[in-house]
Amino acid sequence: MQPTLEKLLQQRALWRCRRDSLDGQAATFLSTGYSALDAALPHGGWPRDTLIEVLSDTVGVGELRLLMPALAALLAERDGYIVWVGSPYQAYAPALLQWGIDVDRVLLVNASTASDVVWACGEALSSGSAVAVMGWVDALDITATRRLKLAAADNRSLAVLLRPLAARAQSSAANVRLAMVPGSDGTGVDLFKVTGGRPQRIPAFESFSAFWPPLTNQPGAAASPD
Amino acid sequence: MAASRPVRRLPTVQAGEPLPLPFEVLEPAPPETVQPMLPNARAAAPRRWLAVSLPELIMESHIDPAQRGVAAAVIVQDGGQLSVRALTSAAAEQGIADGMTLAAAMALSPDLRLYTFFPERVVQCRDELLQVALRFTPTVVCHRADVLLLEIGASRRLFGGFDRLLALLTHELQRRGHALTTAMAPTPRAAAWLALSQPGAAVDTVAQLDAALRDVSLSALGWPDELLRRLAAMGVRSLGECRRLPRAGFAKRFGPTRLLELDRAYGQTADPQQSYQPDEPFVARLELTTEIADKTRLAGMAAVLLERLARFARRRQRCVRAMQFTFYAIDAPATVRVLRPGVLAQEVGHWQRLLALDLEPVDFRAPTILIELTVGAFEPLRARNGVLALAGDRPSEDVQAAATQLLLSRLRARLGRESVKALRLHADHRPERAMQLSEPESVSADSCVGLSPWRELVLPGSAPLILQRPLWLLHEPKPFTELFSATTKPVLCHGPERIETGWWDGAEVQRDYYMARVVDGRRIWVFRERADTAPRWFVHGFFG
Repeated sequence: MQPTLEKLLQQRALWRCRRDSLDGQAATFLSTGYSALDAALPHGGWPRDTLIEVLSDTVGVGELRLLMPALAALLAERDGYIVWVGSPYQAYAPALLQWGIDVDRVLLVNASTASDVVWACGEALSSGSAVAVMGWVDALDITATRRLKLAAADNRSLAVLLRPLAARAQSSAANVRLAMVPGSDGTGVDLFKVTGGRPQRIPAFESFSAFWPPLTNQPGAAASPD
Repeated sequence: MAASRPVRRLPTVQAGEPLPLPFEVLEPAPPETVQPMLPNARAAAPRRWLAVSLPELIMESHIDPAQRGVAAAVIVQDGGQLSVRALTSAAAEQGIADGMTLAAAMALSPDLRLYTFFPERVVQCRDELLQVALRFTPTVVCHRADVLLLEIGASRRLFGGFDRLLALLTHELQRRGHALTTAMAPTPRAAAWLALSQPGAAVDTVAQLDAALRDVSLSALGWPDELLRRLAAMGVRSLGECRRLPRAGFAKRFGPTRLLELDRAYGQTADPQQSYQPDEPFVARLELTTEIADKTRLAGMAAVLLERLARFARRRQRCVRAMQFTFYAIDAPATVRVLRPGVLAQEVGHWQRLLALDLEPVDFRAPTILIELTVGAFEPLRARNGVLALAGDRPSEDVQAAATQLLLSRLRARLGRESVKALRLHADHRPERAMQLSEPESVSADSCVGLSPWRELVLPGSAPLILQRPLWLLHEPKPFTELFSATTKPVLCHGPERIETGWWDGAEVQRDYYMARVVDGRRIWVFRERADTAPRWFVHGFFG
């Protein structure tokens, strides 16, 4: 490092955003389980005890896969539940098990209106018995997101909101906001707000061409639906 | 009326009666238990005790009668090790025995069905049986965890003789799927010992007791093993031999309580019993001076009732699982609300918040004039452990469980009773049946520990790709054309995985599952029916 720069840093005249300012807090970050995403996030992972927003208009593009490794790691760390509030479909237990999630520690909460979802998320966070809370909600004002973020920080759990792409225009207190960008070869991630980092796009957070190649032997003419 | 009756000296209560009873009292006794009853019988019927021993109670309280045909065992964790606590006869035939470790049992019978041991279930089951027994006599005693005593001296006549009474009782218990042995004797202890060692014995008078008990093995007495070993070393193995020992020496060597037990069994000393008393219900009313329509004020008023309930429950070492509030109005139907706080959440403050949450959506037609709080059934209080300061900021298990119950009860109060569900795995290959939704408090639906086909397939890396399951499952498979536009075509990526099962229960499936990709980037799980001649595609899940 240049001596002048070193001097400035020692005098605290310069504030370094990405590494040194948060030195010693490395443990407060949680690996996402995907190397491309870890590299794009500051300190190599999701921030802990805060609010994350995932925006997507369709289900089945990897919006859950994105979170599963981190959730499994959180469950392994300490006691408590993962609470799903107002999910659009049924979470499937055998698949959760395949992702390493202890199925007995998942609670599904059925809430239909946005206010009920936010209320239930807040209750789950402040009860202290949730390691992570996932809420599916459309409309939300910034005060509500701020409140959820505070509840997550106070009770040391992770709050994840899953919202439609239209929510991008609304401001939010979430530390990380990202949009899913479905593509032919895996889903890309558009990190458009990262506290302590730089917004950027990842073409695909997991490669599908190796993982899910198309069948070479298509099952006959009957294969394609009419 | 009672004062005009001559005071009878009750035969079994003596002043200076030594108190310590080596009984296994499983539950705190209710405050007043005046046992020797029936003072108004003209000629008091001689007391006769019918002992009912339930040797298989643990197995019966855990395993449904329909499931007992196969090899199954109840498993308990003692120390770090899982071992067999009770088992079905089919399991016993395969060589499995009580106390065997789980590993040894599984080696003998790989498809053994396993159930986790819950002491509460045994207590609950026994309480039900005690209540059944109350139909035959008002004096029912829980002698040991698995021995019930019924005082039938007077009931014999009512039910048309001992044999008829015994047949009725046996029928009632067997109908509920219990195996039992019985014996009758004039003292409670003798009856219990006879039921355990000489089933079917019926002794009518104290004079016959000596002969009847002579051959009873000492192992039926429930004395400590060490004591039995010492007695056996002296050549004493049966009650008759035991009775021949000099009293003073016996009391000195083995303690006066053992001698007292023998005296009580032989009817030489009174043997007071604490009879079982079912819970009394809690009912409390609060009449309001004026009619109140405001919900927050109503909730505030109800706090008085809740305080009273808390005192009532605490005094009896009980806890409340469900309570019912009825709000009465003049000229309008009453409003009934049921609250369900968790058993670990027994604070008045929490109940109040719960009530406030619960009343929020309620539409009161008319102002309330009277509030009534009723609790029909209580449960034994579970003590909560404090947190050790050394444990750091990690909350103890109890605190965690209490927090979870608080959360559940609050979510239910606002979103509805059915709003919170837990996931349970089920050993079935049909995707829609591999999982069940259940109440979070319930134990896994069938407490099968192993053998779910998903256990081996943990983590996507290690699971064969073809067996991967989608994170979202549609409750009912939907035709592809219903979810996607006609021009969309899926690209099949993996498959087929043929699932063909269920022919035995009428919900047969014959499907070929594929993982597919749609142009818009979605990954879906599709199948077609094997039997379809013109194949139609159905979507069953999304790889979220």
